[in-house]
This record gives sequence, structure tokens and C-alpha cells, in this order.
Amino acid sequence: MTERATMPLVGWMRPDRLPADWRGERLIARILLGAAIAVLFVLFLLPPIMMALAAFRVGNLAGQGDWSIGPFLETLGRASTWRVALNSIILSAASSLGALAMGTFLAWVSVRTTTPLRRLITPAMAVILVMPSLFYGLGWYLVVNGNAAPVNILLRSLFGITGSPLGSGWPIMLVVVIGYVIPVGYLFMVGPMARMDAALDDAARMSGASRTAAFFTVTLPLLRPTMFGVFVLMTSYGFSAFELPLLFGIQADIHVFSTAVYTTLTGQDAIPNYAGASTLSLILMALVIGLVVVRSFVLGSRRYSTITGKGFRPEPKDYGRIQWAFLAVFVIAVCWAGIIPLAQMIIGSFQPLFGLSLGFTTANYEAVLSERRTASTIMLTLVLAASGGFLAASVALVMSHMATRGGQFLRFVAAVVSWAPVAIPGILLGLALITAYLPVPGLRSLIGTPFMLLIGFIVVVTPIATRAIEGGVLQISPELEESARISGASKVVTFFTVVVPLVLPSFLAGWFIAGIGVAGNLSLPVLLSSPTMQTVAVQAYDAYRQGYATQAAALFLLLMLAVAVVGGIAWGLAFIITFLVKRAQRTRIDRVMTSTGREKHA
Amino acid sequence: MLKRHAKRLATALAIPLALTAGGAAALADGYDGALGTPEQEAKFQALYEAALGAGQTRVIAYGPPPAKVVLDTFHARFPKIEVIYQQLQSAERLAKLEQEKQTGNFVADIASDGRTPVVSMAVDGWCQQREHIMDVPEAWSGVNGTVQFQQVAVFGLAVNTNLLAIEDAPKSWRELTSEQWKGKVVMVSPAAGGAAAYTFAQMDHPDENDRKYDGIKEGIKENISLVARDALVLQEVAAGNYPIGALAYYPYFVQIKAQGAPIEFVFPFTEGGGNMWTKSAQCLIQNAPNPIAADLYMNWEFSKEGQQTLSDSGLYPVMPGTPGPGGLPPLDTVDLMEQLPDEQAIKAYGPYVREVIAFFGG
Repeated sequence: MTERATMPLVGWMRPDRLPADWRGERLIARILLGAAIAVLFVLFLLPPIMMALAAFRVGNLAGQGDWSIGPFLETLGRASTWRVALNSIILSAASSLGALAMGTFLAWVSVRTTTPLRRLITPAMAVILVMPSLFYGLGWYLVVNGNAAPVNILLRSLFGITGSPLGSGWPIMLVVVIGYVIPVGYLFMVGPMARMDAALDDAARMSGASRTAAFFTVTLPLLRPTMFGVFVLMTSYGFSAFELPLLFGIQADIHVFSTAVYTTLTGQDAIPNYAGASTLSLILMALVIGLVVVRSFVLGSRRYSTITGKGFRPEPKDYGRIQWAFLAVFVIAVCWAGIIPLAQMIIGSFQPLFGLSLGFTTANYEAVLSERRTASTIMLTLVLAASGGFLAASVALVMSHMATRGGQFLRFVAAVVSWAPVAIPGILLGLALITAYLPVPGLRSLIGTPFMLLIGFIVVVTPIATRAIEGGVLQISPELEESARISGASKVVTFFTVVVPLVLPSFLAGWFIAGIGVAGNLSLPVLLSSPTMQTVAVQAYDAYRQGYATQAAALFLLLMLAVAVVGGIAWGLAFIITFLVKRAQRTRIDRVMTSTGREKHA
Repeated sequence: MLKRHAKRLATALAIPLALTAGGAAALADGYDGALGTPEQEAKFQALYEAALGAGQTRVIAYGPPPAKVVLDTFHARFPKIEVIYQQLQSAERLAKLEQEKQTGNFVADIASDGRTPVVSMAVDGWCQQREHIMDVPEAWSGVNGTVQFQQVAVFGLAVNTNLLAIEDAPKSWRELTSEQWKGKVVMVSPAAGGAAAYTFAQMDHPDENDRKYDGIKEGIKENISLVARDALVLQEVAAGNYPIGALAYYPYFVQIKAQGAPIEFVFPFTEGGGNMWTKSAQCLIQNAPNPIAADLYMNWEFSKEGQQTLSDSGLYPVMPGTPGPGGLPPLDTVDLMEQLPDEQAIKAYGPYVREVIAFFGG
């Protein structure tokens, strides 16, 4: 004791002052950053962690009760677990690749060519995206199943084939699932594609590369960050796909992961088997972690900046007569992903029974409109979708920027936050969030209120928004921000005047896709809000489950109409505001020019 | 805590007062015998007034909702009380109730579902005891009076009469497995759980059933086309893609038939038994925020009007003397699928359901 007291304090001196990084504004900034990271971890990381732990606990609520390894071993020991997981991997990987290829091609046609009607591609894809998977699936189901199905009539009259040979099985399942995600692939890719500098292609052409070679060796490699991100996201979500594989797989004895989660959770015992369902979710978790690691490995630390200084030119080019073929591909994609199922949905909403020729009626719309909650449900859905989508896109933008310009730690935080919720199967999302947030004092009191629902939506759709935005942020050269900083702009001013305008197309796409994700989510409103506060998706799905598919179709069409009206108004306002801002900028420049005695701005 | 005590005290005082005042009012106005005897109607009136007196104008039920006509009829009878169902699966319902218990923010009044999940909840102490206004037979109440079985649903064959004469329809499960019907019958897949999986699990257990229905499951898998959803079974039959739909849910049949579809319902199988039926169950949740209004609704379901409305929606009423829905024969004349007693069924069927799901590829 004495020895220690008399020991000299070698190498340690009491500092007179704290280092510069831990004083004043910087200290406050660090504290705020720390608090923000803590909140993000609770909101985003706790749900998958609790879901993983729930695999080893048996109780009335997932993640609570006695510890047990029994359900974990029992679930993993079943041959069917691995069979459905393999089916899901094949389905999700194949459909992601197909939709990404088609989406990327259409995005390229839309922004890099002068193909006729190319300006209609984005609104068409946006409208198609609003369609719920249930009605998309039912629409296709009627096209390929039954004696009156158009495909079967064609096969009968041309080849004499009877029955519904294409009604179920892998080919139709892939066709339908790919068609459903084409708009997602397109909307993810169109932003980054629009911000590509045409000069890069020109350079390749000048060096002797053909147009095709330039596309595959210059354009596509530069889009790798977005493409990989979107591929991982689509694969993960495809793994959780429920309604479409159920409609087209069951007849052909093809079962998928999400059906297994559903039956494990609800179909077997009086007490829900949370532990078994959570064990299955560990397989998805492993898949997501694996894909994210592969993505980081493939992308490495290469630079993908395509938006640079003055020479930046994203102009489209005329590719000659082949553009008519591009137009044909666009029309086929729109029919495949939108018009065929949408037409069935519209017809169905006017039928007494979905898909049956028993005459037409407006009774479904009358029934829906006579429900006194319909208007408020549509309004709530729109407000939640717009606000939840915007907040998720904002979180995604800030995190993507932090990850790109920050150090390794911030990159890690952004990666974890933006991927963690993806590791939870869709069916278990609501349960995971309740399990995670129930013990957290501040969040616990919010459960059952609109705020909790909004927080839940933000958590769930931020990964989607991030995939849409991160590629756009990566494309911005740091030189642009450095130039602004050197010219005296603060970090905040630089962010809003340089980064935001350049990443705006990706941000808007992210907002829209995230908003649609909010509107279509079934799991969260049921568990996180009160029974009187439901969204259109939940109400329509309930109506479908009770046998009122036609009324559900009418309700969804009313929502689509509302989205189109609100979207139209928003687009009109944005157009007017942009026009006024540009005019104000021109006036200001002209005034400066005049005052300095130079020529007026052309 | 104090608030809850005050609420209970108010309820305790309100009920006897309302019973006295309301009873007199009901005897004066009455429901014209629509609900039951004058004494029973007086109790209904008293309960209604007690609910209104306690500010209970809304009932929240967690579970699959009944047909719209049921809720509309109740609302027409008791206009100041609204019943709202939230369609939750058993896992979701339990998660939500557990969340309400842990936060103290109680929302649900009634748990409503098939017998197994509700009986299981009652055994675990989620439900509270109630008294019935009507003379409900003991068989339709369970777990010490905490659970009620107000209706029964049946499953049968839906037949497209444009494709098959009703008298030519199969008369037993065994016949459905014969070569004659191969490719002509559609059924919801048991791989997704639900009533189809339970039907075959009950054929496997107890042992008497296993012997009686030996080979049916295998024959059905061989013969029948499977679809994803109950609603699709009737849609496929009504569209004429299949002449027969097996395990068709009768309330769905009633809805589709009412739209003019050329279909008829075959129930029961006249040979070999195995007619599938399920008891629907409800219980009043402990700490329900609107216990009086919920009690009124649950009692009304057993009233003459309630039972008739359930029957109109395609469900079998359970009160003695109420006829079956749509002219179907009384249940006690039908050779029903033998089922284990309520509390035994909670755990006994689980392993068999898992086997069935796996057998059908799930």
C-alpha cells in the first residue's frame, strides 16, 4: 500500500485542459451524436436482437418467459425448414436479379435515351407500385387459372391444351414475382442513372468501345453501389414474400419460408410458437448478414463519384431506330407489372364476386363509401405514408451522408441501422417491435398511439429509403462540398445547398417508395396502434379474409385515386415553386450583373 | 389505481340501480319478445342502461369479425353501443393483450376465435367469469363459466350445379379419394394451417378416428387440387373450374350464393361421418375497459334475435329450438367429426397438426 502511494506517476500528468475535441461546441456535438446513435440503436437494432433471443424463450410474448433450447433444435431439425429456406433463396435471388435487370434497363431508357414516351416511364412505374401484392397476385391468378382465363383460352384454341398448365409452379411464380418488383428496381435505379455524367460514356466511345460495351463496362460498374444495395434488399424482402408464393406455389407443392414462419407461429398450437418462428427468422438474419458482408467485400473502398464539377452533363442520346424496341420493352413491362393485374382489379371492384362473370355493380363502392370510417382511414393512410416516408428518407439521407463522409465508426453505425430491420421476416415485424420497445420506458407509453405507429413505420422503411438514396450520395464527388467549404459555407449550408439538390431525384424516389411501403404494411398497424386507427391496407386485407374481395378492391382503388390526386397536386405545386425559385434566382443574378456593370444573364 | 377503483365502484352501483330502473322501463316498453322472455328483456334493457350510465359506448373485440349483418343488427337494437372487431391471429392477439397488461393501457374487451385459442386463454387466466341472461345449456359454456360458445361453423362440399347434379355429389370422405373424382375437387391447402390442417389432425387423433379415417389423408393428397385460401375454393367452384370444393366454409358459401353463383352446399356426408365442425368461442377479458357493454353484446348473441342473426349469416345457432342455417339439418342429427373435450384439445392436437402441415409440404 505504502509502495503504491510512493510510486512515481510515470507517463501520466493531470491535463490542465481537456483536448480541443472535447471542449465547447465540439463536445456538445459529440454528446448529441452519441445520444442520436443510442436512440438509433434502440429503435433499429433492438428489434432484431430481441427476435434472435426469442428463439430461446417460451412465453406469452416473444422474447419473454422461460429459457429453452427445445423449439430451436426442433425447428432446425425439421427437413421442411431447410427445404422452404432453399425455395425462398431461389425465388428471391432469381426475382431480384430479374427485376433489377429489367428496372435498370428501363431506367437507362428513361434518362439516357430519347425513346418515345420515355417521360411516362416514371409516373407509370410509380402508379404500378401503389398496387398491393394481394390484388396484383389475384389479378394474375385469374389470367392463368380457370377455364375462362385468357391464357388458357389461348392455349386451348391454339394447341388444344386443356386445364391451367401455367396456373402454378416455378415459371409463373417467377414471372409474377419479377413483375411485381420491376417498379421497385426501376425507381431505385432511375435516380443514380439520372446523375451519371454522359462524358464518361463518351470517353469510352472515343477509346473505341461500342455503345453496348460502354454500357456494360462504364455505366453499370459505376452503378454498383446502388445495384448491390437494391439486390440485397430485394433478396431479403423476397425471402419474406408471402401472398404471391402462396397463390402460385401451393398447387405445385412449392412452399416458402414465410409460409413456414406463419404456420409455425399460428397454425399448430393454442399457444403461439414464438420461439420456433424466431428460430426461422435467424435463417433470414444469417442471409442478410452474409449478403451485406459480400456487398462490402465486392464494393471495397473504390470511389463511385460520377457527379463532378462544371463538365457534368447527364443529357440523353438518340440511339436511332432501336429505340422503338426499347419502347416495346417498356410497353411489355407496363402490361406485365401493371395493366393486366390492374385491369382485373378494376373489373373485380365492379363485380359481385371477384373474377366471376355475374354482371356488374356499383354496390362495392356504395358499401365502402357508406362506411363512416372510410374517409378517415384513407386520410390517415395518406398522412402516415407521406410523413413516415419523408422522415425515413430524411434519416436515410443524413445517415448515407454521414457514412460517406464520416469515419469507419459512422460507416458501421449507418450500415447496422440501415440493414438491421431487414433481418426480420415481414410477418414478425410487428411482434419484434413490440417485444423490443415494451421494456423501454419512453417508448412503452407511446404504444397504441399514432406516434408509435409512425416510429415503427420509420424503422421499417428506412432500409428501403436508404437503398434509394445511398447510391445517389456516393455519386457526389467530395470536391463539390470541399469547394463550398473553401468558399466559406458552413457544413449545414453545404449540405442543404450542394448535397440535397444533387441527391434530390434519389431522395424523392426514396420518399415515394418508403411511403408506399408504409401504406402497404400490414403488420405494424395491427399491433402498434388502436383498433379504431387502421390503414387502408389492413382494412382491405381484413375484408378479403372475410370473403369480401370485391369491396377490398374498391377500397384500394379509392386509395390509388387519392394518391394520384395528392400526387398530382404535389407535382403541380413543385412545378410552380421550382419555376418561381428559378425566376427569383435569375432576377437576383441579373441584379448583381447590372450592379457590377456586366451583361445581363441570358 | 384510485381511478380504477372509482370506476369499479361506479359500475357496481350503476348495475343494480339500472337493473331496477331499466327493468321497469323495459317492462313498459319491451322488445316485443325479440330477445327473450319479458324478464330476460328487462335484464337486457338494464344492462344497456348500465353500460350507457358507465360511459361504455364501444366494445373492442380481438378476433375474426362476424358477418356485417350481425354487427348491424346489434347496433340497431342497442344504437348507442358500437362493436369494433380487430382481426388478429392468435399470436397477435396474445401479444397485444400481453402488451396491454404490461403497460396497464387496457383496450380489448372480448377475445373471439375458435374454441382452442380462447379456451387456452381462459385456462391461463385471461378471462373473467360471467352470468348469462338467457338459459344457455351447459355444453355451450366452459372453463368455469369464463368461455361461451355462441355458434358453430360447419364445413361441407360446395357443388357447381352447372357441372354436377347435386344428387351425384360424393357422399363420404372415402368416396372423395376414389379415382372418379381425381382432378375434379379443389380444397384449401392444409399446409398453411387453419381448419383444413385441424380436420386431418382430428382424423388422426384420437385412435378411434385414426382407424375410422385410415388412408383418407393420403387419398385426398393424391386426388385433390389445393389452393391457398378458403375464399378461392368457392371462387374456383363458382367459376366452374372445378365441380366440387371440399371443406367449403358455410358462411362464405352463403355470401357467394347470395350473389347468384350457381352453387349448392352438401352437408352432411351421409356415409362414414367425419363432418367437420368448429365451435366459435368468446371470453370477456380481465380488466376489460367496457365490461358491461361487452357483457351485453355477448349476452345478446344468445338471445333469440342474436341466434337468428347468426343463423342468417350461415352459422349454426346453439340455443335449443333455433333451426339450423339455410335449412341444414339440426346438429344433433349429424354424424359429426369426433373431437376431444375443450381443455384436452388445447395441447393434444398440436403434434398432429404439425404432422399434417409437414405431410402437405408446409
